[in-house]
Amino acid sequence: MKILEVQDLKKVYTTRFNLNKCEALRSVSFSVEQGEFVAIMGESGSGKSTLLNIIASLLKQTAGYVGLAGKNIAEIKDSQLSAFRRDHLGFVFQDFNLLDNFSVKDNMLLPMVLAQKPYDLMLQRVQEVAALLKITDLLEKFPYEISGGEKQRTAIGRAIITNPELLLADEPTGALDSKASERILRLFQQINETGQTILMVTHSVRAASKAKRVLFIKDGQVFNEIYKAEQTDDAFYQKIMNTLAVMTNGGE
Amino acid sequence: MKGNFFYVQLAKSNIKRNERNFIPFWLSCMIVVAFFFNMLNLKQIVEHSEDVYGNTTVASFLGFGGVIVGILAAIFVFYANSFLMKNRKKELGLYGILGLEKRHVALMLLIENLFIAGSSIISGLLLGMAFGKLLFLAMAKLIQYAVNMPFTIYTGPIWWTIAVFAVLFLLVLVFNLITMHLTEPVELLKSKNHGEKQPRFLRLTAMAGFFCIGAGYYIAITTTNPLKAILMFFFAVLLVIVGTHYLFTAGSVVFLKMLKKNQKFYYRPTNFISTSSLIYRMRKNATGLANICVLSCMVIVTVSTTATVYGSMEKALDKRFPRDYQMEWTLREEKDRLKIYQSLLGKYADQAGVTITDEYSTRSLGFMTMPINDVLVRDANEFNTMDAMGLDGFLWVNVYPAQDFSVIFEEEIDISLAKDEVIVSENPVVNNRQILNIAGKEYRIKKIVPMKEIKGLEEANVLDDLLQIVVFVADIEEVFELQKQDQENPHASTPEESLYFNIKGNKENIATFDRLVMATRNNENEDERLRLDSKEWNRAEYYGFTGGLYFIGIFLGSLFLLLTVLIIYFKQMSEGEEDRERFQILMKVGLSHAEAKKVIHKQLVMMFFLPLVTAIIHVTVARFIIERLLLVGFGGNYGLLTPYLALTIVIFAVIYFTVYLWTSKTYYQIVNSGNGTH
Repeated sequence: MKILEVQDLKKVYTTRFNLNKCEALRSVSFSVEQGEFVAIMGESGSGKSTLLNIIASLLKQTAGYVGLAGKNIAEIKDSQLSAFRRDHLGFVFQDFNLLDNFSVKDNMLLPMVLAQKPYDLMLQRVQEVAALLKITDLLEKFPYEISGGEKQRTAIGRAIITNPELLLADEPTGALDSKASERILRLFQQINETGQTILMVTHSVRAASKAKRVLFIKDGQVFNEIYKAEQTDDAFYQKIMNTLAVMTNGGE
Repeated sequence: MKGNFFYVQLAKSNIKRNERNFIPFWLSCMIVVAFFFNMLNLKQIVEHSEDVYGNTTVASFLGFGGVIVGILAAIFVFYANSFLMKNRKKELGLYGILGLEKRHVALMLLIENLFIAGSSIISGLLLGMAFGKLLFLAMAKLIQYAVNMPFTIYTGPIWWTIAVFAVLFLLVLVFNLITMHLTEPVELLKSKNHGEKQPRFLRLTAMAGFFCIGAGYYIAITTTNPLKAILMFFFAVLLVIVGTHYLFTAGSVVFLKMLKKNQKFYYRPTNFISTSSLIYRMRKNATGLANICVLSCMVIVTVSTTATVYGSMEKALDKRFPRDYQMEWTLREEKDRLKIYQSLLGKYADQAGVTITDEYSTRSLGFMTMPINDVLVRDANEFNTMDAMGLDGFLWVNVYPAQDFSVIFEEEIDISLAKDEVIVSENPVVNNRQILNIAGKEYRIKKIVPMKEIKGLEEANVLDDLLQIVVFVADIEEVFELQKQDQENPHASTPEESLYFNIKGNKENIATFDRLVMATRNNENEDERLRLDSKEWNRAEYYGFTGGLYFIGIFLGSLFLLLTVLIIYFKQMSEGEEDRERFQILMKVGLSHAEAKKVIHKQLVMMFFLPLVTAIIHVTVARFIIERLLLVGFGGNYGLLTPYLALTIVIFAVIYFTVYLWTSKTYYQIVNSGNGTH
């Protein structure tokens, strides 16, 4: 089953006082199946953040189609957009985006509270998720009292607590040291094994090598895609490196 | 030089970029300067018009007002500056990281400061001069100066204003430089937030707050003695201010935490967000809210009290002067001065062509008394001065002949008194006592009459209603006789006689009569001192006093109001900046625009109306003690305090609400700016 389908996606930025147009996405097409773990790679300015923002319905595309859980996101009314985002998507950001005024538990519960779920269910879910992420001891702490890795685990907890169809991660290890990064990425794999579909944007080869499939974006287009299949993380890492090398050379 | 020019440019563009912060700061500095200048200038004008009766009273009020404006200006400029700097820390940190040395940043700050100081002082002075005449006319109208005072701009106040504000801005600069010097650029960059530490003893502090406010309220309600009220008023105010601070900082958090514990309530979308962000905000901003509350109280109390005093002036004058003229002299046997004066006045009246009406004379004896057990002891040796200082129970007694009762109270009652009986006016000290000692003889108190309105037989002052009683005896001559035998007593006083009358006639004739009477007063020799006074002579002083007070009240009231508004504005600004990030995150996680608006609205309403509602409760309670304070010197509020207070509250609330609408608009703009979501 296709969770996400992107066809011929195009995004052009126009500055208000300037007629110069900037084409962030020229024509992007790909799809993500249920249970996949896909990484999108590309250099800075390749349009990968734009792509993620459009999928997250935080930005509107200029042209093309984005279907999420069988629904055309361009057709969702503004008034229902937030609810849609809440019910179908989970977000993990580079800078965690936790709220200082909420405890770890409350940060994780935020989407469920917004969705007006019953408290018993919330409590049960927060325990399950915390156990999975190994942050049960931190539940009553506040974001400014815990480490970066712990913050990101909290953010992951917040993203998956509603069992979203798609988990979107934007450079989830960008603000972490290598040890914490490694733990976070292993967590992603673990979550993926439970059946959670993940779409991750990154320019870290190490991070991408944890995914099952890697899409390469260059100049607003999908340049290549490679599958991990039965390879080990290290072998896949080498393959990604090679592809990147080809991509860099090919561009010149 | 070229280098310096760069910093001038930098400073200029900084101010431009931070318009939203700088313009209100600059505007308010300007207005404060204008206020300060006018206060001093008006004082000079009044001082220079020596021919105006009561000018020193008004001048001293204005001088006092000037000092208050100065103090407020200092507090305000520092407060506004701290907000400004808080919002700019990131920017200053960035300069450091971009390679500007601290001394360069200091130079930039110096130039900015010079620019703001120079332009706000100059424009404030110009504004002050432009509106000076208007203020002057308003004051002259309130004070009812008959004499033409010219409006002049004196150079003294200009220099004073420049000096005071220059020093103030210099201090601000020094303060900013020190803060900047003490912080590393990196710290400046991320200086905003990371949740403050949980304050300790939260519950205890909250309880202390409740206790302080309760104690303040208790004092305000139970202090019945007006002289004590003067002392206790400031104590009560202090308690309530401290209590408000505690309650806002700790009490609110305790309350919100209780809400948080209620899971059914807390885990609902809007409650969830607003409760926790209010806790967060309260920790940071409760002081600001408490300040707003206290300032609001000041505005309301100042304006309504001075308005009451001004509004009740004619009535106070009537109370103090039941007739147009009053004369009092010591009663001596060898000479019937009443006859002499009456014939003299008759002669003057004929000369001037006016008629004397409502004439009335009486004789009386005044002395001190205090209660010991069941007896009101007359100025005896047991008289304890310490108790008298403590104001507990000593009374000034005025003994009048019983037949004057109807004139004094303007009321007819049956007054058949035995020789050893008295009628006494109502007073808490008199309650339950049966015996009054007058000049050694004990009289039985037959009846206590309510002292509703004593028609000013004595000068009305604080002692009037609470520390003074009026006593009626059947035979006043006997009292005088007793008094004469008691002359060795060091506390003995002498009997007095007094004459009250109105006059009728045309204006010119009355003026002629007035001159003749005034001449009499001046001719009296020391030995036969005559106390002669007229309502008209006192009116000017009354207007000078109450009008001056009212003017200062409105003047300071509007300044307090201005400060309140600005504090609100700056608070909204800096909170808006903080909330923006939070709402961006919330919206990414799935809070809809409509929900966000609802939450923001809920928060704003709470933050806005908490101080207002608290202030209204405070001043409502303060009414009790203010009522008593007004007895001192003004002889009461004549039923005007309550309506004036209510009116002031309504006007204030309307202005406050307008400010709310205005600043919440800015707040929404700040919070929504840079939100990619639709």
